[in-house]
Amino acid sequence: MVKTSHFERMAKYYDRATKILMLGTYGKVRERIVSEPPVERALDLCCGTGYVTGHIDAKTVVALDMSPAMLRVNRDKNRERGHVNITVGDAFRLPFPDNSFDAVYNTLAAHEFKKISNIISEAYRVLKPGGRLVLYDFSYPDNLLLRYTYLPFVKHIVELGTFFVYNGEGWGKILKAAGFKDVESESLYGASILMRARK
Amino acid sequence: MPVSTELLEILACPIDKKDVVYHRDYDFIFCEKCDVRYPADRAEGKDVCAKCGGDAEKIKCDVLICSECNRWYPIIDDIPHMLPDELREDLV
Repeated sequence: MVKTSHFERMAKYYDRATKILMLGTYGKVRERIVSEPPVERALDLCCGTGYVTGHIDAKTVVALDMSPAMLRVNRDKNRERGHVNITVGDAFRLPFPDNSFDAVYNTLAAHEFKKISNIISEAYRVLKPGGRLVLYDFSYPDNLLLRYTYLPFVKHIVELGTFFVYNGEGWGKILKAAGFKDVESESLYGASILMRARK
Repeated sequence: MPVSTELLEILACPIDKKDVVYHRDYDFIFCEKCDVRYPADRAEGKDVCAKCGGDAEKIKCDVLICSECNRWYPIIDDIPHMLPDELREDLV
């Protein structure tokens, strides 16, 4: 189970902490993540405070998270963006019918979940046929110094020990097992991974 | 910023994925001490907190109710709370 109360406490500081952790790549990585063609309806799954929520090119964006505190920060940031809709929900049991979204985004969240394949299956279920999954998260740094300093720091100090990461190959297996096609991986700045796939 | 029609159109019960029906200003029981709220019609007429047994107040709260299983999902601070049973503390 994800540690919701941890996020309730740190919601106000989350954006600042993330910017520091991303070592100056915050804006550039986000641009890369949201560089998808426009769609009618997108889901920002485990949206947190909204790293990408307001930047997704969609007529309607539904932003879902388990933490009301994180969602309130997200809503305040996107108050002027009328197409952003906020809801509390569980990524393992999404409150949407099958085939509801043209795109599902999941950013900086997958490492929280031991059973990430169950969430990926839910993402697959709510995507329309041909819909796109865009997933971004920490990965194993190419640089050995970063691998043995940065990664343990994030795991033990920031994430309180709960930390599951995969490389492009690992993600490829998970996504294909859920039924996704056209799986592509892209290493970003040698320490994170961007996955794109199609239902 | 109330819940948009776009969101209401797409939300479903997280358990059975059936439609949820929006009810405005539904009668609720609210316990400030436990920070728990639930529909008055599920409280068998009692206006004490079913969790702690202490005083509870009657409030109005928007709610989404599943058309199939009758589960209810409160809208708190204009945000729908669509959690499955095992993650809820307000089921009494």
